[in-house]
Amino acid sequence: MELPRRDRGDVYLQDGAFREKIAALRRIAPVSDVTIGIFYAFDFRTHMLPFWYADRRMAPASVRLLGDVLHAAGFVHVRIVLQQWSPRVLPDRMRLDGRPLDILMVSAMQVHAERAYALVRDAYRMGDARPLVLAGGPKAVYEPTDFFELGPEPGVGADCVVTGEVFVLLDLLYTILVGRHAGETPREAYEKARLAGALAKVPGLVYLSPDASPQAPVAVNTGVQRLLRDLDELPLPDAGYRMLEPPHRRRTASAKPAAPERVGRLSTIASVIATQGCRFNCAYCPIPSVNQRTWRHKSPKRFAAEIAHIHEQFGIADFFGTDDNFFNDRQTVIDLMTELARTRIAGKPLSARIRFYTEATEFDVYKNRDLLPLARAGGLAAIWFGIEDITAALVNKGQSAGKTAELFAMLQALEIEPMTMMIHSDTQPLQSRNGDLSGLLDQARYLFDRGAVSYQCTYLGPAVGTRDFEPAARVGTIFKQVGHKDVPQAFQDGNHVVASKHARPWRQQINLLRAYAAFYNPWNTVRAFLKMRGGSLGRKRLLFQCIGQIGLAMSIPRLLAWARQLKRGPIEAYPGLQAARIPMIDAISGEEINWAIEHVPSLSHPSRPSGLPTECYIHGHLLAHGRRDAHRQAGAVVATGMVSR
Amino acid sequence: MSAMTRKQALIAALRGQERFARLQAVYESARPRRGRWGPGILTADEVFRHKAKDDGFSDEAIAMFIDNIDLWSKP
Repeated sequence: MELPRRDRGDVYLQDGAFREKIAALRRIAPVSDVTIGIFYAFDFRTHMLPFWYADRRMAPASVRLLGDVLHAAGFVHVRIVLQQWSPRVLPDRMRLDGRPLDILMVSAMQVHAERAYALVRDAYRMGDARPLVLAGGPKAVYEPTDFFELGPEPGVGADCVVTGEVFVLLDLLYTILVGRHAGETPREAYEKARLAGALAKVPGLVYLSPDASPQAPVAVNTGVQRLLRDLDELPLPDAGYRMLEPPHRRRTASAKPAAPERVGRLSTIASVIATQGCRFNCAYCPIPSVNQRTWRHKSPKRFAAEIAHIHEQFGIADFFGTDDNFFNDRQTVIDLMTELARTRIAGKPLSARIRFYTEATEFDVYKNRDLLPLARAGGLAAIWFGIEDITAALVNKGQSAGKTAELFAMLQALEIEPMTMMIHSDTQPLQSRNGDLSGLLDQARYLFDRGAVSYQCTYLGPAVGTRDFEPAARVGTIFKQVGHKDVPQAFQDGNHVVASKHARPWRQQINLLRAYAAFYNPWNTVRAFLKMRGGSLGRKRLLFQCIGQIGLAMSIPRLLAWARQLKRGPIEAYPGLQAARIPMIDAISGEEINWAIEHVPSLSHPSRPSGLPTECYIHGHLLAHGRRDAHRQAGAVVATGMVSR
Repeated sequence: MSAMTRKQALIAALRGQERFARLQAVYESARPRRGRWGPGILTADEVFRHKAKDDGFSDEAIAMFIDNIDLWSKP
């Protein structure tokens, strides 16, 4: 199931609220004393295929943005640890200016979640002196309760999980620290706020109910976040880059973060937020719902200023827009690229010094293909296309073989690199039988022949937070165990077949490797080499052939081992919908709810979170059931569904 | 107590330089991993604890080593 969203008129924060919250935090004097470690979890089992090249060359925007915002709010002792750079640093051994951490923030995608759990467990080694543990990132957004009760002892887990964007974290920190007394640690202040029910007023949080017993924990969900409408309210990306832990293999943090002049050599690609949202509504994609069907973007001036600032301060020339569909809105493309094209640094056009990469659907780029020369003039150097399946048999996003060929030819003429992202599925044949392009290998070869620079192919598995998930779970498609071992979260990366109804899933796994080999191979390398003189695109094709083949060599043993395990079996799938490991209740109504995954109800009595004003509770219940006397019936109703506030 | 004295005390507690060097090698080589000691991923320190225990070091020696190792490792 998709994430719930707020009522149409209540999706956004009030304009200016973000900056006001930052200013309010700055006014809390003891904030500057707080030591904060931000960890970006990274599981090296995902370091494979062509992705190996980029994952360590880009400091993620999410944790950098946290650093920028915390710095703006007055926090001065903050360090960002990227596990892809310094994988062994441990929270309990980390010291900032000689002091242990007061707050540990762990950010993780689902595929990196197991490393995040290990970090949380490690913090508990500090005993009573442990920091306040906050979890965030995509894993937390979709499966917040997975951060609780991590074992081995009971009670080990995150104190609070943030299911929203950075404003939610600011709001949480403000709620905790505004009531903090002298000598009180942030964790003690947090506990005080939790017991008093103050957290329930911050939409976008999940924490353990103080009323539930440790043997049967219950999580409280404070509802759907409000989104920041004006992305220009975010601070300029700067401080986050100055807080990065340099790469090393020690358990402890370095005395100082990486020097600014070194940052550009460590993170050769800068991820920038230009736009957020997508107007498509694909059943396998959770992006539109997490954005509550909104379309947001930075102003052209701000976007250009951001790129110019990062380039000047840190010497980074490659920028990757974390866009869901950059060409989603024609006017936005015109505005952003016009501004980039006319921005100058030291008398030279910015677009001559930087390269901008982004992601878009083939349909939208084709529809707006007259804008491509402008985009090129603005520095656009590559587009990653979510083509998925050229024949549109799997999903129809308006793509076709003819459009692909025409568009790619146009892109090549403008020296914009076409990068392709495909999906293989149970129903797609390896090779076409009737001369069409339905076959996986036929499509890979077709794309290379039409000038694609890079190729990636993932296996279709239902993602949490999508409409595809529950139907797949009901019919037993999602693997729970293979060879009597749990399927690791790192294998939910699309590179491993972990959900299938195919009679021979191991063969589907090998198909993926064959598809990569059909695109990245010595013969294509020679072809790319022979055409290398045809401009910068030729050199890029050659470079990506090398990257792809190295990635393939790295990954073949690991993926074949997985295929072998799939073949040996036994494969045990989830038998339908499950009860939640830790049930979740709505903070106001006290009713059990589902969040991104549909569970079978497990609470026989909804429990009212403590510390909430009664009228608030009644109001929540009225929203759910429309009954004036609903509060009297609390304890008798178990319902699923989300009440947004 | 200075870092040097603590290091000497640790070497004495570990019954010699050779055992200290062995434990240090285990410490340096330990990296986060999954599988051998449990289903989840273990941190580098957890892996070190397990490996050192398998090598016959006592819990006290391992704890003492971890408490002191940062004193002379590179900042």
